[in-house]
Amino acid sequence: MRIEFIIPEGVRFEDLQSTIQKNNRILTEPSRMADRTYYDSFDWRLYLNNSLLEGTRDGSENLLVWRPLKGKGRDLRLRTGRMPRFARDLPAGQFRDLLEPVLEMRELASRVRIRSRTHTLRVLNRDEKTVAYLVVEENTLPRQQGKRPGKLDDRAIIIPVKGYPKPCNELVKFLQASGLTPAQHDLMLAALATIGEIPGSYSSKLNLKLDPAMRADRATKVILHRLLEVMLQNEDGTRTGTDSEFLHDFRVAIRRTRSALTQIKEVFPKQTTERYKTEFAWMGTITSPSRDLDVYLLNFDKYRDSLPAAVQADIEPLREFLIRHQKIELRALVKALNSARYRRLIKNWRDFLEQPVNERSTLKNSWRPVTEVACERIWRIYRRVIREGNAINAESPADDLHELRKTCKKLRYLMEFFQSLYPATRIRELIRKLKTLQENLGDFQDYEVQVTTLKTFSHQMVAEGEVSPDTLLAMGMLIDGLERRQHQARKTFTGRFADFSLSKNQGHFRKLFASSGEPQV
Amino acid sequence: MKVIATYNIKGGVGKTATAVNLAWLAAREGAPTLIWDLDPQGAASYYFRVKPRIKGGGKRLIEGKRDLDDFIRGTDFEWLDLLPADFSYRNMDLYLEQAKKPVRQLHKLLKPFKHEYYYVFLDCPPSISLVSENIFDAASSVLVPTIPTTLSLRTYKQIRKFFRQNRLDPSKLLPFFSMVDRRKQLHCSIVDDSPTDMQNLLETSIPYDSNVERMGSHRAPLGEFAPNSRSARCYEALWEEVKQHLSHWE
Repeated sequence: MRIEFIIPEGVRFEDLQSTIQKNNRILTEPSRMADRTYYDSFDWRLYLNNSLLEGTRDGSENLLVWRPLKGKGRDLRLRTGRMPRFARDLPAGQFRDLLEPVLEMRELASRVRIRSRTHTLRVLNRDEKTVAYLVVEENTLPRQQGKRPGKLDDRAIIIPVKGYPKPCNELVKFLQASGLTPAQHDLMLAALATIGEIPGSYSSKLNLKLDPAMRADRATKVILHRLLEVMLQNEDGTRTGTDSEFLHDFRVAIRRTRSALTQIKEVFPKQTTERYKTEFAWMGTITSPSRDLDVYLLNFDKYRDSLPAAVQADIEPLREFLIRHQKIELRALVKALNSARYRRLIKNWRDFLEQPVNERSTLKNSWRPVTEVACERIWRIYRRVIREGNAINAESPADDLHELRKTCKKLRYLMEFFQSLYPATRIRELIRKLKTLQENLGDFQDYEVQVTTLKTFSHQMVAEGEVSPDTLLAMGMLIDGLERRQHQARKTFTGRFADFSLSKNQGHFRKLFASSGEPQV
Repeated sequence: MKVIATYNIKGGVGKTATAVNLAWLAAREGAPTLIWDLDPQGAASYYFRVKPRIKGGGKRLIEGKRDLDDFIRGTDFEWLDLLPADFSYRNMDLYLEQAKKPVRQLHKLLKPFKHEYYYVFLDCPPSISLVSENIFDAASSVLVPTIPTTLSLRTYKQIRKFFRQNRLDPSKLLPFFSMVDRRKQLHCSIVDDSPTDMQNLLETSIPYDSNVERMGSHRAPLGEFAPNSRSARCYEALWEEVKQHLSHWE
């Protein structure tokens, strides 16, 4: 594990070098200039994974180092020709195997760049073997993100060699005696702070802290304002279509907004609610085709692998079809986002949310404490979930399960909006239980939608010409597989719902959300 | 973790040079790599300037009384570590015999490093013994450097026979021609018209090159002091081929 020290002003590399040389056998490597770029996803997945990814251009290659920010753990290194945009662009191997689950579908973006002059001293033993490294870095921040170039700490880094602890300990003692102080944070964090970037600052989660006594209309505005913030944070990425997660988070914020407008009743005038419900429904519609295609492309490898090896290649034309159509749909989406209607919606919506609430509102729920409204709404929707679920039997049509899925989603959103009003562990546990049920219902619905869409795609591909019978056959096999899985999801439902509706769990919901006068399940 | 052994019953065929140069190439790509010098002569340890000594000797190591990790040394190259040789390895067969499941011992010792190293190279002593059986068991591939002479080809046949007799998977064996001297007619004819019974014969052959001998005076892999030499280029090609084989068998 590397040990970093900050070099105070006035201490020069040459001074350190000449002192070390007096007592040690040293090999000095030629000084080098290095431009290092630190990468992370838009939502800081690497940082939140306690790691950083450093890329250094070395001739025609990129040297990637992925290392822990704190604590022990080995660095991983990879030489690669082009800087990968996604984990899937990396060559097969350990680096990719470990990075893929962290980064998933997210694109790597440059977060900060550092320019360093590095001097490396190798401490040698009697066999001329390197037993420790001392790297001295003179660091600067080049111009970036409209920020002027600046200075960063100069650092001395001891890199131990496995099996040779002694020389490393001696170097530590020497640096401390020379007035150097151990660095508390990695240089990347210092660089990010200097350019005003806060790592881990983005989250699509609501992370609100509501006051239980707050008026319900005011609290609803707080929730909706946070959702607008998430939408706007993802707007640029949605336009460029760099990675599918921007559009995903953008759409989730829209869906939550619509749900809040519908579910938190009688807090805003009906006319206002209806107007924005229509507008956000329109936003749902314009973003839908792009997302559908994204889902197919994200799952494409999984689809292909589910087919017998002999026909896997036959499905490839579908991928080309999806990519082609994704571009067309993205253009249409960008056009809609550039429209006057969208701009007007965002402006008016923001104005509305930032306006103070009408203190003299006569609407039933507007002036009530948010906690009362929250309990009432959650309890009512929860009871609906139980009612609808209990009514489902082996003969029930698929539509009944879809209806239940929608009700569960409403419940989930309400619980997340008002999460901060309840004891954290208890509500988290109930959300977890609901999530397990939702996963099953979601699978059931997703398989059905995928089957329908695949059928539509196959018709579209025929209409566009140049689709081989082999491809259509492979798509048919895919549809068969999806139908089988949907059937399986249906079979699992009974058990999942029985778990969710256990009387013990009903008791937990009742305790948290039902007031004494409320009707029981 | 992929375990690659360099093995031959014969000595002086380029086992250590192969293990050292391939391990160096693997580490240069950024893959955490370990080379285990199992030969009591300790040539690989010498090349990497590491003292060929294991505290307590091979006996203690096999008994597992101390963590194997304590014996591992970092080399001068990033991502390349070495488990040094010890002269007591000459008695390794004795220690192995005393253990439970004597053929699985190496496999057992390497298991904890599953997530630590991506590649483990085993530089094996020239013999056919219990140590070799352990190596065949632990390795995913066994590289067999073979000098293109009649006797060497005969030795290779013996190794294959041993595999068959002991119900080992012969597809693990990856022979390649080593120390090929193009001035010798016999070498040329064997390399150009390789015997049909050498299954999995790798296409790359390593030429006879004085640079390989100079590894001893430089105490470093070829890529460090003669990166443009013909043999260094050939080891690069060999490594590419070995990697393809490894991914094929995954």
